[in-house]
Amino acid sequence: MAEIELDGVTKRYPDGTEAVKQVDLEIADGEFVILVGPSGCGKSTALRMIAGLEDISAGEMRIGGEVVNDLAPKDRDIAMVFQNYALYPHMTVRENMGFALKLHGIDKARIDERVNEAARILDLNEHLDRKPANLSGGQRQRVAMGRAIVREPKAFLMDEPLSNLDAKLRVQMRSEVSRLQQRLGTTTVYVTHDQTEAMTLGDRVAVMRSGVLQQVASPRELYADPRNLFVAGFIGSPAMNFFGGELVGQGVRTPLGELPLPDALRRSVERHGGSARQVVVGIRPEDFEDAALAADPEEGFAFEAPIELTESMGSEIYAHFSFEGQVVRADELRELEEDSGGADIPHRTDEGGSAVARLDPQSDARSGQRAKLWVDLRHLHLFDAKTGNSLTYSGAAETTDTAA
Amino acid sequence: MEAATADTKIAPTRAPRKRRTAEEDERRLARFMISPSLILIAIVAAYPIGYAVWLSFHEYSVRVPGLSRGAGFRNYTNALNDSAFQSAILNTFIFTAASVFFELILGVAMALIMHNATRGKGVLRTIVLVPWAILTVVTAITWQTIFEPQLGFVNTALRGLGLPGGNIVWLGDKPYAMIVLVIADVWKTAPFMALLVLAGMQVIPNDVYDAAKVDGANAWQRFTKITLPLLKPAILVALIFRTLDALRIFDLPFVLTKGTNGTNTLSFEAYQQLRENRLIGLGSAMSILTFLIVMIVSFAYIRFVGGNIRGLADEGGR
Amino acid sequence: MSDGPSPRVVGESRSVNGAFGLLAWVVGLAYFFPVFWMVLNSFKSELDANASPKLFFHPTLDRYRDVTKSTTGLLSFGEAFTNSAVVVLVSTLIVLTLAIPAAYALAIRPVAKWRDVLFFFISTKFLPVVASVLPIWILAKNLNLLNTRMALIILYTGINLPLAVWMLRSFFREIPRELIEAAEIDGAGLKGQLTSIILPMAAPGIAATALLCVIFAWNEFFYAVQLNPVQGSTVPIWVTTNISTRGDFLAKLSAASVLACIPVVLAGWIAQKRMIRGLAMGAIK
Repeated sequence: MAEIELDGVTKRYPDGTEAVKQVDLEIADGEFVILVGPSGCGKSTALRMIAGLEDISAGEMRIGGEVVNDLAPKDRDIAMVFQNYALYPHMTVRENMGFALKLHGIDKARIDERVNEAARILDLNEHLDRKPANLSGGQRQRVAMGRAIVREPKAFLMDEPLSNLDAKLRVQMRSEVSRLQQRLGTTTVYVTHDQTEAMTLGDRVAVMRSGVLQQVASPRELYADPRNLFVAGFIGSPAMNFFGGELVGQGVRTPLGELPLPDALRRSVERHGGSARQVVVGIRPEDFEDAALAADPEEGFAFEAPIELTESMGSEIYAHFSFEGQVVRADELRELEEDSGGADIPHRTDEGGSAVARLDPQSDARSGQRAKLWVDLRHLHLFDAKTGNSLTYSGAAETTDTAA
Repeated sequence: MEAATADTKIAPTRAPRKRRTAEEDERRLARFMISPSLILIAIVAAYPIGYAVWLSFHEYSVRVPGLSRGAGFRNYTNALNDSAFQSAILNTFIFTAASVFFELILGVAMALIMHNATRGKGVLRTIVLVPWAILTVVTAITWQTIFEPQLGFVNTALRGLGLPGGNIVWLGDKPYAMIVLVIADVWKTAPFMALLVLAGMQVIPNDVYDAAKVDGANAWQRFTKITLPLLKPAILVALIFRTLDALRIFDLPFVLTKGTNGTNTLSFEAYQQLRENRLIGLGSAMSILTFLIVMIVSFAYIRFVGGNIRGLADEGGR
Repeated sequence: MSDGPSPRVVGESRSVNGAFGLLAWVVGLAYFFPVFWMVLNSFKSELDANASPKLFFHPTLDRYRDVTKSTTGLLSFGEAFTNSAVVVLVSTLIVLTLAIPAAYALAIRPVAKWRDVLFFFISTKFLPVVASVLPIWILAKNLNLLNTRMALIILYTGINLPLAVWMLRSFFREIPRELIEAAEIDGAGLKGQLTSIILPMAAPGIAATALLCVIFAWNEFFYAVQLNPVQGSTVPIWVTTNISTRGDFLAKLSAASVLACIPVVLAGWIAQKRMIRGLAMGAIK
């Protein structure tokens, strides 16, 4: 059995900084779990602690039920794929893949068998006798994967294995990785900062921020039911739009207008502590529509907005519209912006901002004109403006702040 | 390059000619980049060699100063028949083998320590340089005082601890003089090895070691199967230069023992003839013989230790 | 990026690490004992220095005063240091200026006969120094370069070049070709490639090479004493003037040696700062 359990795992450095704070995570045997988050959130550190390349400052790490805190990497029966591949430059591909097996004393015949098999799966047969310096980036990446497969370990640990590949190759390899994992059925923990990879590859995704686990759930759940502002803003591309709001009576006042809250949402808000007045309203681009083309007009709210820019993708149109009113300022959002590189683009003022709506390709919205848009109220997300916790989350009420 | 020839076959227009000139330009540029060095080295090194060869085939008259006459191979036969020279050959080889061997081990060990030190790395690396930084003459005198039979530190310590050997006249006795010589040389030049090996270690990426840890290699295995193979180029350069220097060593034995008690090296014998005995022809012949010995050793080196020269250049698969 | 592998591996027993550390310290101390002894001697009186070894004595700076005071007619401390400084710095600079292009040519754009060239370079180390002194002396005399700093500059440059070219070539070969090609495509000519890619990435190697040249040139005695006994004399010559045939000199010699070492140690400190890994790692992405 190869479940991996992190129980209050913490990483503390000599100067006091904590890269990983009390992470509790259970990974079932054969599961594909993704650790995702912005740079510096502690996901790689967590992975390295599972591998044994970093000491665990507090908490317990269990693999297959056995506490492994003090076990060396080689005794944990795990295989790792590194971001820069870490191939042995002086060995051929064959030797690279067979190195670990040789160290474990497996006889040559078995090693050859396993290496050839892995080479076949990864299409590396012609390259077996070459050295890494003579391989392309994609080939090197496959050798790194092959080195892990050959071990037949309890778990695969992958540290951003695709991030050094060019975009097209990355997409291709993503499906390869997925197919491979399904075929081999090995428990896999995969670290990435790319939320698209996280959403498409994982059985479950763990979002991390500043060393703290934000939410662990299936991709669909994370998308539809984020627990806090950070998760909501991190998952989904294009990102969720955020508007400042105030709870008034049966609805919420926003720059788009006073949106009436459906019953289900109102109950949820009450459950989470109805005293909060200032809220952040999150609306995904997909939950907007051209008012004329909305499927269920009664379930939503129509409003007018000036369109700044339209991007026609063929299958949909992304309309950037501006709104007046206070722009949401929150640490989470600033972090997300910095991580995505958008922090340097000047577009926010205190008098208003812009949002993105995904519209049906037949929409008439044109840049420079006002358009009538519609928002689906069933999929509103409300967040406590102070704590960032979601007021519409279907799980238990939060008592703590998002960044503990 | 193959593409160029293919092109000339298919389309013999202006394009192939352009490419050829570019290649020629490159070659010319390369020659330009190397020639200043070549010229300077030729002056400083090749000219003395030629001169020494000329001298070795002549004899200076004892009676009439400034006169010389051709001597054929007489100087060479005299040199080879000289018992002191013969013993020098043996002594030099013993010294070189012992010295280079210990320097290598100590140098790699020092490089490992310097590489892995978590605290005071900068200080450590600088301190290690000091033995090498001290003037050879001073080093020799220092070791003389340390091994001084009556008051020197070694014998005092040995006697004090009740260990045997407290009465050895280190620099005045057959095997011991060589031992002190080797110790002094290894002490002085191990830092040189360490420096070269350390620079070589810096190029090895960290994550290769992580991968090895995960693959199941313990510290010793990581060292032998990862570090050492990747250090081969750096070690080879260090080995060749150290061996060549060791075969030609002069100042250390000169000051330490004046070449007595089994420490007369090839250079020392040549010096004796050139300076003390003023037999320029004979001294030059000895020098040229040394030259040939060193050349043969380097050939052997490059052939057996470094693969062949081609291997030395092509390791790394490029 | 850190300077070496992570400090302690989980599972590697702490006692093994501790024993290794202790051993390193013991070996280290034993290794530097002669240096320590020399420094100690430099603060002793001649009587103390030549007596049986003792650790406790009355320290004095007199020996340092003795060796640095100027006597007319004799080589002074200041003069020797100036000469050495000039010779060493200029020759090392010239070595780097010549060796970098040569190493580049041999490493990155191999010339047809590069193997022969390399062999020619190390063949300069085949002849014993004793044999070269006379011809070099004659040459210097004929060129009127005896007792000048220029003679030593040219000589040391020529002697250091082979090792410099070999070492630099070895380091240049470590640089991934793709980086150089990318620079070429970006429009960088030879100079651009050198400054933006090759020199930064080979910085540790260049620092090591420069250090080797400096140490050799600074400590070179044999040629220096033959060619420049009167003028342009360097520090090694100055140090040996403290070796006298009458009376004890060990303490004075120790003081002189300590002074002679300081610049080299300084150079070593500067060089080792450049030898940090991580310069290379950042570029390979």
